[in-house]
Amino acid sequence: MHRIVVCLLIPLVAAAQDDAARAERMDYGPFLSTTVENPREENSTKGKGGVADKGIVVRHGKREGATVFDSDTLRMAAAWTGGWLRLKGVAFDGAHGPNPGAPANAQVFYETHPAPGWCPSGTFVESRVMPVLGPEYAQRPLGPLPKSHARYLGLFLHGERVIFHYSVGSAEVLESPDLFTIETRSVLVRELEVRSGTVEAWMNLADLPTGGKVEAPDAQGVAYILPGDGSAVIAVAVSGLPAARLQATQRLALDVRGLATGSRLRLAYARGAVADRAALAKAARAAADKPATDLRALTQGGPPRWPAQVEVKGILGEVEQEKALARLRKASKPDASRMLEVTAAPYVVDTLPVPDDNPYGSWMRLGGLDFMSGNRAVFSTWNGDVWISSPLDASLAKISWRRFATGIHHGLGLKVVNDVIYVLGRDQITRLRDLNQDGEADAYECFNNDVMITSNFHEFAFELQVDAQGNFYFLKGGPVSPGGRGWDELSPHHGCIFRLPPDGSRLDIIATGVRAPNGMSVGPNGEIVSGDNEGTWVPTSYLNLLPQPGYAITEPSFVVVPDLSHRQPKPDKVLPRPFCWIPHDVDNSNGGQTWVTDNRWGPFNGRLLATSYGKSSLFLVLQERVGEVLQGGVIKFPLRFSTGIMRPRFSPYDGQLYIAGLKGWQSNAVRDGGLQRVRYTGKSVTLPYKLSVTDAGITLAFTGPLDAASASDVQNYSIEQNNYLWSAAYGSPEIKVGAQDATDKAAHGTTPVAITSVKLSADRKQVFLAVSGLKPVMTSRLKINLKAEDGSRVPDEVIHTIHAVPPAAQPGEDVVSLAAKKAPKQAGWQGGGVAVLGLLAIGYYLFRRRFGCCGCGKCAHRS
Amino acid sequence: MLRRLTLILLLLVAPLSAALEQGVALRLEVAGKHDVRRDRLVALHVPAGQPASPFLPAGAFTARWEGALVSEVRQEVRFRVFMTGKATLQINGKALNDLAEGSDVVLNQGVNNFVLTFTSPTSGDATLRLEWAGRGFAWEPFPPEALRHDPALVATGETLRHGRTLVAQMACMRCHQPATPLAAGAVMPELTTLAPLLVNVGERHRADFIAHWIQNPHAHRPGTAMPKVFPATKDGTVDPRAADLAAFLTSQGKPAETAAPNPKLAAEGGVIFANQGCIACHTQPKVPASEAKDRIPLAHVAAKWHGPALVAYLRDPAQHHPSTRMPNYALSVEEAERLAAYLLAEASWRAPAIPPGDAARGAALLVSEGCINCHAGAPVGNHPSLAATIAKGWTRGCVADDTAGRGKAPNYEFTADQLKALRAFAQTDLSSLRQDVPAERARRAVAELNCVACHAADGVSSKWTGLKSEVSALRAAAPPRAPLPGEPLVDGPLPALTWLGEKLKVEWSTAFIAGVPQPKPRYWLAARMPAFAHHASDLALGLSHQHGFPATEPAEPAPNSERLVIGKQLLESAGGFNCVQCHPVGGRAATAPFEAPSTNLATATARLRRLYYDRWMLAPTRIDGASKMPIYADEDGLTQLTEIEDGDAASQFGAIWEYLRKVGE
Repeated sequence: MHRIVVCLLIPLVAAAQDDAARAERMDYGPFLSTTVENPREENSTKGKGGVADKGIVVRHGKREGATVFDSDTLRMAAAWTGGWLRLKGVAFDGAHGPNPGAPANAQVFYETHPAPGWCPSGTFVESRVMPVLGPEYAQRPLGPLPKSHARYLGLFLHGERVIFHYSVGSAEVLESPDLFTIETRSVLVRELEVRSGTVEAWMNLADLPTGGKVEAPDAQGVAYILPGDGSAVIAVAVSGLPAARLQATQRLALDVRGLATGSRLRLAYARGAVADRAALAKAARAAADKPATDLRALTQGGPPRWPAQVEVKGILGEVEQEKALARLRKASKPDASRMLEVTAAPYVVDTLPVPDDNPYGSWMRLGGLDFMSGNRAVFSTWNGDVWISSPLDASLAKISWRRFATGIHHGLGLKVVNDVIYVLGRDQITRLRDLNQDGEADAYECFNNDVMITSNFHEFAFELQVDAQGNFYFLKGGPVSPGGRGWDELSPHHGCIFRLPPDGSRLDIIATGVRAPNGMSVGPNGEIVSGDNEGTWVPTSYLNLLPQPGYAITEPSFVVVPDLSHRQPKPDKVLPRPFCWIPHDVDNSNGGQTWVTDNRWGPFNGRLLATSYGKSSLFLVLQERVGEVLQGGVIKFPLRFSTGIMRPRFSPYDGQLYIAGLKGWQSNAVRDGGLQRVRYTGKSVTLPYKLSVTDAGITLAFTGPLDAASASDVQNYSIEQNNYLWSAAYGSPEIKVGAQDATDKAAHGTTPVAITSVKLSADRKQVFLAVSGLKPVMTSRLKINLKAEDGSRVPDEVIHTIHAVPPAAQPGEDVVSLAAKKAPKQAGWQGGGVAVLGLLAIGYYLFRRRFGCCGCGKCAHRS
Repeated sequence: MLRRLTLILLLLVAPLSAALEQGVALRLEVAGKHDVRRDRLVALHVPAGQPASPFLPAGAFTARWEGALVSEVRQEVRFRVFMTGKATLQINGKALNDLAEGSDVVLNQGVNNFVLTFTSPTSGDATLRLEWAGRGFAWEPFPPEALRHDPALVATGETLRHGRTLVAQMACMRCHQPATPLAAGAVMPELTTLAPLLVNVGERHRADFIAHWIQNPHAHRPGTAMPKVFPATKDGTVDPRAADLAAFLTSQGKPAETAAPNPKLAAEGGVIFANQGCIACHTQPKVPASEAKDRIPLAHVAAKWHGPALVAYLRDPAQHHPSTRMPNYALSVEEAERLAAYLLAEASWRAPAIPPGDAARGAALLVSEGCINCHAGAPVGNHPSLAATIAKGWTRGCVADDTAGRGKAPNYEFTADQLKALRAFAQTDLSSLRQDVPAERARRAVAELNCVACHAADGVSSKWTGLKSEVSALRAAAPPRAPLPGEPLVDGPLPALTWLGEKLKVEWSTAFIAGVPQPKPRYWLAARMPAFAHHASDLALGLSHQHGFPATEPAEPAPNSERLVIGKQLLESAGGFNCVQCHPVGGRAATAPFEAPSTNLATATARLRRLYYDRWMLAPTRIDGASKMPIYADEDGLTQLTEIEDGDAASQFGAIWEYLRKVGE
């Protein structure tokens, strides 16, 4: 018995490391953007910030060491040898809570604390403001430095070198870390070059180690960092400026003032035993004195890193159909109606295999999708890659994929604008440019990094959309606590929907209160629809339409999504009214949405589609407007997807729907990631697409004629309804309509509603269900058992929300959005409009403090 | 899902036939004799050589289920019957012709009358299970929520069963022996149980309460099997003989000298009372017994118990009453002290003074009044035989309608329905007392042990569910404290009983119900499954038979190594269903059980019946609509892992099962 147990435990333990092993196996490229924990594995991010919320970890050698750059504060946050990164965290080993950090045996050369890396006064006081919104909020500054102080502009790649590009005051600086070996000693180097202007600031080289000290330059011009435990000494040498510019007080800083365009600096850090101090000084000196690299020359693109083309063959939906039919035929009693449903399917799902088997071990969990010129698909992955396909054709017989970029901080959104790729990371929107046209990105431009993030594992940034005017949009979740309910420390940007102008110069909050909103869409006429995922203060998934510019906003603020999520104080008792609540068993974890913009995809042009990540499902969304109230529902397409679909996109080339997704959190998905195409076969479609609720009953319109016998039989319909409980618990059970106390378990359940008669229209495309006494309800499930004219089955459930019940004489208006329709005027938003006006309510004070504090050196109270 | 179904069905059925009730009518016939009863399901399992009904002899039998299948909408479905004999099935008057493979039928919205007849095999076990499949769901047992029957069809048999149960539970035969003594081990289990043992009662109970209890037990506990042995006094005081008995009993042992539970702990004890489900069976001790309604009152608990003895009782309720209904929660000393403190502090009834008792007289009364017949299993003595009393019409003595007719016999306070049932049963030959049927024993045990107080069953919510305001008040009364990391949930849903007999292997469920120590399957719940050791095997076996399953599962072949590899892969994130995200496997923790804590898969094959596992894997929300378990298979039985076993869900899930069997070893 003992032997068996031992034998079994070994594979189990090995399996437990499976995700971790996959994360380790992946080659992330020369750098990886990620939140970085304290090198000493102290989870110091809670409340005071870790090494870097927006870390960009440069890999030295083949994983021999790392330098962490913080793109919020423009400082080198830490550097070490003895390994690259301990890949802990939700996107790596799946752990809820931790983030990557230094490996266990790392030899840390230096650290700096979250504060400006550059300072005109040498005091390094904080120039950012505290989010003073309440005790639940992080008690530390978040987000980037004021742009007038310093600004992250992006990075360049040249081979394995990473060249950071940022501004300090009016000057632009290039900086590149590297690792050298001088006489068997590892020396970490920082090379800087002033690209333009004159630097008028100090740079922080190392903060005082815990319990340790820093020493001013000795006679050889070498300064020292002495860790408190006495375990090592780090010698620091500089070339390009006199050693006297090194200042050792509360930190080791370098006075860089006056350094002008073209000037170069080399800083070298050599770490070793205290007894080797002299040798370390020599090594640091030697490394610093090596000829400085022409960093500007490295900003033009370098040799390709990922030349491999990974070829795959697509699988057409008809192949899968045949498999299903063969299986059905094998049954002792084949299900004729099911067989007809398969053969008559108007939509099939084609599979475009992603390059799972690639030379880099790249983990194919797709988080963003769009199309480039030449009918090429481009996707981003959760682990930071961007891949581009060869031109796609109808047959999908041969698809080649090539890696274009790496290192993005959770690539969960991607958009192509004018054939340039913008990819959304948790830290910023990055604009990728292939400078030398070799098929790989060489410049990772920071399009905008104003977003404030914390170290929370769940505050994902989702989607990236662009409206007709070129404005960008994305969403950001709340900092869900590990385990599911409640929140970690809050930031003002948690649970928000953002909008950026076409030049990315600003980040505006246009809505708040979302929890884990894995997707949004911008309609042909600027309609912004977002989804959300059940959890704390979100009773179940929903779809919500943001009020349109110029449309009546009842709240006297910019908050246009009624606050469902984490805000303090808690929202009032009036439930918000997203236009459709979706029950847990239909969608437990939402995906993205898209509007049908092409007649080549059947009869739904102008209609909204939504996806469920958790159920790997695609829905047609029905919407009706009753006065100013929007309400609607969803119908599930009878299609199957292999992964948690969340990024639906219509290809401008073939007019078909492509959907990317992943398996990363709870879902019925079975593939790590996938890309599938929902193709219209041209066969007749009979689906409900219009819904109208009045005090006389419910009218449902279909795209095709129904079988009269089944549609005219009232026994083929039933309705049940329920509400939800809005609470801090994770989601809500179904609550019976009219329940006195929704918190009472006895109130759990649904309430049946009687249908007294049914009437089928003459063209057999519309049914009217007579239901008296309809009232507003959060979820109404209409079960139908209908056949289309050709005998094939019609989806059996319509789930919708009722906010308004107009008189039968004044029914609501069907909502359809076609691009041909003139778009509403956007001026109110484009120019700063409502969003910025609203922001000013809290922004005025913050801006004033920012400008007042920047570089004055008098703000010691905020250091 | 099923709760929703039930609500819909209730709406559909109500206007059509208000007389229909949930369940199905079953008529059993053996050699010209017949019996009827109400069943939960269209299923049975009768082992070879055993009777299908306690009122019928063993042997080949026919069964006829009659009732209505209720459908939410008109729908095309398919029915099949798994059986060892022969069966016919008619739905809405039409015969279905291929019950082995499945036969198509259109169910109307609302009720659909059906009749299923079954002829058992001439040898071997008799087994039958009615299953259906339809659009979007694979073969599954027809759910009890959707079965209706005309209660008039089973009234006779149900009344007989009521009478039979009363005879057993009221221990009639402790005083009135049948003509032929019952053979040990081949009778209704209830006939062999004893009332609480009276050894060392003085350690536990107070004399004044005992006297009042003897005087009028029903005042403290309506429905108790303890009769009034002495007539009521005119002034409502205690009969001196009751005081004598109390004096004798309390002379047997002395209360412990250890300190009584600290009253300051009472509020925390109240939380235990609320969170462990005590409140589902018992009213709070502050509630007078007269207001207890359908719960067992506790108002008398402080008057009855010495504090330390109450703590000991809460920790081991069966110590002096092996067949007690009160289960064992495996309370720690600290928990029991808190609970006892709450009960003693809140109990509202105090015993009025009693006359001084004479222990010697009490000792004699213990014998003469028959106390030791029930409490110690003493011989029946001079009481007339059961047959003799029945022969006199069973209208006098214990079963009299009034005081005059009762004479000196004990007063059980039988209701009119109970008397009717007893007298109906008396007209049988009483042979049903000599045998039992596990499925019926389980039905009685579920009622007796009040399982539905805590568990939903057949679409009906538990009683506990409806006590929100009381539970909230008890929780609020305790000192507030911050929840601890990983603390079990106090409001997590308990598993429903509906499919338990199909779900759990008899061996495992017997041990589980008996409280055999093992890791808690639902470790995330604060509520514990208490042990009902005396009843465990009866419940486990009987529920299994109710669902048409035998006590043991067929042996499974050893898995081949390839299947083990496949099964292991399918559990994992890479190339599998990522079961390990929510489920622990042995000592390996779940990787990210985000709001979906789940059972340890290493115990799955020991716990679950294979058929149930297959059904659960295909469509978990058909069984538990609130389950967060994803659905991986489509309605064609395919998963998206097409490269493994050609995407066949059943084969893939089978490989997981095989691997888990290996892990479970």
